[in-house]
Amino acid sequence: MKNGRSILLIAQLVVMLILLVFVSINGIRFKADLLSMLPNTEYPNAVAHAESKLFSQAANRIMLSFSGDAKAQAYDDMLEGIQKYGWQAQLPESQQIERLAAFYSQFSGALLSEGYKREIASPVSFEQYFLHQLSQVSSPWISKTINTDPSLATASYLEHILSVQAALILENGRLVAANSPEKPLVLFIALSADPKDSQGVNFSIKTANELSSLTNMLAAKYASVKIDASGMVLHTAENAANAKWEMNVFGGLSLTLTLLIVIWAFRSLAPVLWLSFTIANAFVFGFCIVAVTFDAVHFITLVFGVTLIGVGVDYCLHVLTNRYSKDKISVGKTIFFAFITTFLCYSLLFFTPLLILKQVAVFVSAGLFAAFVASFWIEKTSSLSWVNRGIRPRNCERLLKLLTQTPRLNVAFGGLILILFIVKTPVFDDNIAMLNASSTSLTEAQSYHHQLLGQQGKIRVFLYEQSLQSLLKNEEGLADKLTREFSNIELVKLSDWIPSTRNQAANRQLQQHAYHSDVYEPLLQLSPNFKLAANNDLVTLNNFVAANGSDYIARYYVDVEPFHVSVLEIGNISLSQLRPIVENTHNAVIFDKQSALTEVLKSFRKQMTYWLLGAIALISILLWARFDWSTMLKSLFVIVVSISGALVASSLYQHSLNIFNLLSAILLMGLAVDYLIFHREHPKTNANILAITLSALSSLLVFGMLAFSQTPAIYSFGITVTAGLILIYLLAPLVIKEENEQRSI
Amino acid sequence: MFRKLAILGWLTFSCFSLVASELTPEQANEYLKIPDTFSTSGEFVQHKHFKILDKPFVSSGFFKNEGDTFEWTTLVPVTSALIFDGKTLWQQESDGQLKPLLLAGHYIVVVEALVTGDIKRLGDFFRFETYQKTSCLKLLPKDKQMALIAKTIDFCYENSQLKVQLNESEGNYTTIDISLAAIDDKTRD
Repeated sequence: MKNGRSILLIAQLVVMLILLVFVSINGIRFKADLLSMLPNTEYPNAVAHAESKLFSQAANRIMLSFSGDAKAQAYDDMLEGIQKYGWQAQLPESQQIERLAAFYSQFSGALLSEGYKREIASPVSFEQYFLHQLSQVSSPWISKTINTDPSLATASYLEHILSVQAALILENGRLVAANSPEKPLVLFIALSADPKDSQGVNFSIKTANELSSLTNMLAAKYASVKIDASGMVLHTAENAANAKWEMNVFGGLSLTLTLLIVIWAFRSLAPVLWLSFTIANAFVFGFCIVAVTFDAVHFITLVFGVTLIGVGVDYCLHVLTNRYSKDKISVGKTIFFAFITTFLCYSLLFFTPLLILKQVAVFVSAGLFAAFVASFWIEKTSSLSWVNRGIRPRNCERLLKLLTQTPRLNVAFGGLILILFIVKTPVFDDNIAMLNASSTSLTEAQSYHHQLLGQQGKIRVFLYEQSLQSLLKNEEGLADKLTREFSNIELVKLSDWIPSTRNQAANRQLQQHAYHSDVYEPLLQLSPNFKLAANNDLVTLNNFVAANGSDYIARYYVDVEPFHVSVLEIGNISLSQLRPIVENTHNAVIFDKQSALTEVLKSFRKQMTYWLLGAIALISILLWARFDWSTMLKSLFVIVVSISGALVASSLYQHSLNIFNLLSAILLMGLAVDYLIFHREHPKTNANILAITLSALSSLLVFGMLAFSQTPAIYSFGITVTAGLILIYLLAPLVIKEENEQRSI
Repeated sequence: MFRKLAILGWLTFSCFSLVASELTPEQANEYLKIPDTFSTSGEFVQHKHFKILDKPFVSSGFFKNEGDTFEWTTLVPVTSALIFDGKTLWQQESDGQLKPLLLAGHYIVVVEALVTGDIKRLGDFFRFETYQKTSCLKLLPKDKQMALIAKTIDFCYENSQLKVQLNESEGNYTTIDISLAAIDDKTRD
């Protein structure tokens, strides 16, 4: 038997060693972005891939804004400062009009703005338009294009496409937010050539620190200047720094306090070593399995992983208290049964659509297995008691009495909690924004920048087709419908830059018709030799990209084999107005990630509730099979009251609950089952009560720490588990039977 | 030999000094001697010379500056107006409605400074150089974006009249003749 346990431990350690070598050779990627761990929304694959590509592009960029008296000087100093970090300022192309004018002039007649089409409808309207345009004191688009296109069609087209995106204008080589009264300066910074580099946690933290030192330096130099910074990298850095700090502080504190309690209880250092070995074995094994199973390890997984200390230490505590006490009872089977039930509970998390919870499931399940194997071996090892002064307190009779003497009071207390749960049923808020862990200043800066870019309140519609021309036609069709129904609508789209060939051919015909209808008479008076261009060339994606036009369409076009995807940015319209029109458009979806994720979380929470009920039923059956009806009913009461009470307590503190409060209910169930089994399985001994008390204390230390986290997901989890644990500890003794029979163990 | 070279060098230097010498806004102001009390309102006649057109396109109107508002109104051949309220540039449509012009907002500031002879303001956007005509300065845009208005500007003040020539791209150019409507007694900063 003893050899079997040793072989099991050695086998586990060998596997762990192999995994460690594997992980060291292949390296570990860490992540800290919570959004990337959320489940996929139900968008078509082409749209999801396109959005992911656009998201990656944005991840590589930081946006800065400068407002105040000396903003220009601060901007210039920043431009100089970023060079030492090797960052690239994405300076606007100052010759964009010249470049665009040269390109579009080649396709004279194929490109007509909607306004221009209206002007050439009659000779009178064109005359007014023509005279008005030439009377302008200065028009870059006219002076750049009139020699190649005197009809002013190209000038009008250029003015149109540049106007629809005029949130930022160029002044003295700097971008200025045109719509904001204080006219802040805007600077975009590209962080690295390879966008994948910007996803690294260490890179993000380093970048955020470097940027912070630059902005602090400028803030000291220019007190009147306000500098705001936003970007995915900054969110990642904040989340990672938070998670790292919490993992170190909470992990370190809970471990230290747990060990101190153990030293006090056992009056010896030896149990500390065995406990440390058990925890280290559990943590390293869990980590290795996660690192091998997943592409990247999320920091939040490690923060949740701290809970492993609280649960894993329980097995070893039971082994040690029984070995150190006078009651020499074997607990091998009991900890095995406890391990199986907790393992099953955590394994449930693996079937959730949240990648982060899959990681937690794998991490804790593997860790629990290692903790069980270590404790199982410790129980039979002969070198356990270097110094055995017995456990303290020598008897826990008072505590035992306190916990068991008033079962009716406990039942009444439980009943009260259930009534409170019914009266004050906790409300869940599934809004994904509630889980945002970023600081208020960063969130506000992001919102301010959205406003400067004119993106606030804009709705994005994704269209996808296998042929680019079908996509452009579809997009133009949707834009036509929307413009007809909503005259004030704002649209920015791919087909502004590259109209469909059908549209371009129709434009040429329209201009020919206007020419033959003497619409261009005022022009002919000034330039009698004027003729429409004879060429039939059209703007295509290829010739637009070849003319360095990619930057203009980067936000509106993504190629995801075999689909071409375009993005329409629509303003001045509500979702309810837009939805029916988009739903009737082929291969078009409104993309609202926040709402979609909120919907996913809502449906996920409902599923979780059913799973939780199923799991409670499964546990009840197991308890009935192992014990009896009475134990099963009492256990069911304890589990239901503990979970209900924990949720009510959390809702009183948090106001509304989220998915992580519910997820903690699964852990509560696992912990409750452990305590119930230990109370029911063993006689009312000092060692048993002390082991359970020490377990509860260590778990409280761990989960209580989580309640102080800055991350909403983590503190929600911590609060619920802490409240639930207290209830379980108080109510679990209900299952103790005076005549607890000695089972053959 | 050395003497000849020295004379040649001196002549070259003198010619260069005459043709192009850069001035500060204060020196430019002193050079053209535009009075501080120069009008902030007046009439204009604009000639647009486009290579593609056989004859120049002529338009005329008036401008006025009241407080923070600058208005540029064309009367011939069509009526239209640009109104800059200090923050936003508006175009007055034929029906009287105002439409914001986001892209040209900062150009109008330059136009205002040109037609009101505000050299200090022009110094924010242009460098000043003297050239052949003693009553004229050549304005060179400080950045490429400003060069979209004109590659260079000939800015002349003679006999209490301002004349501006915008030398645009592709050989096109625009001349604006300013005549004073009334002498404003407000002194500019």
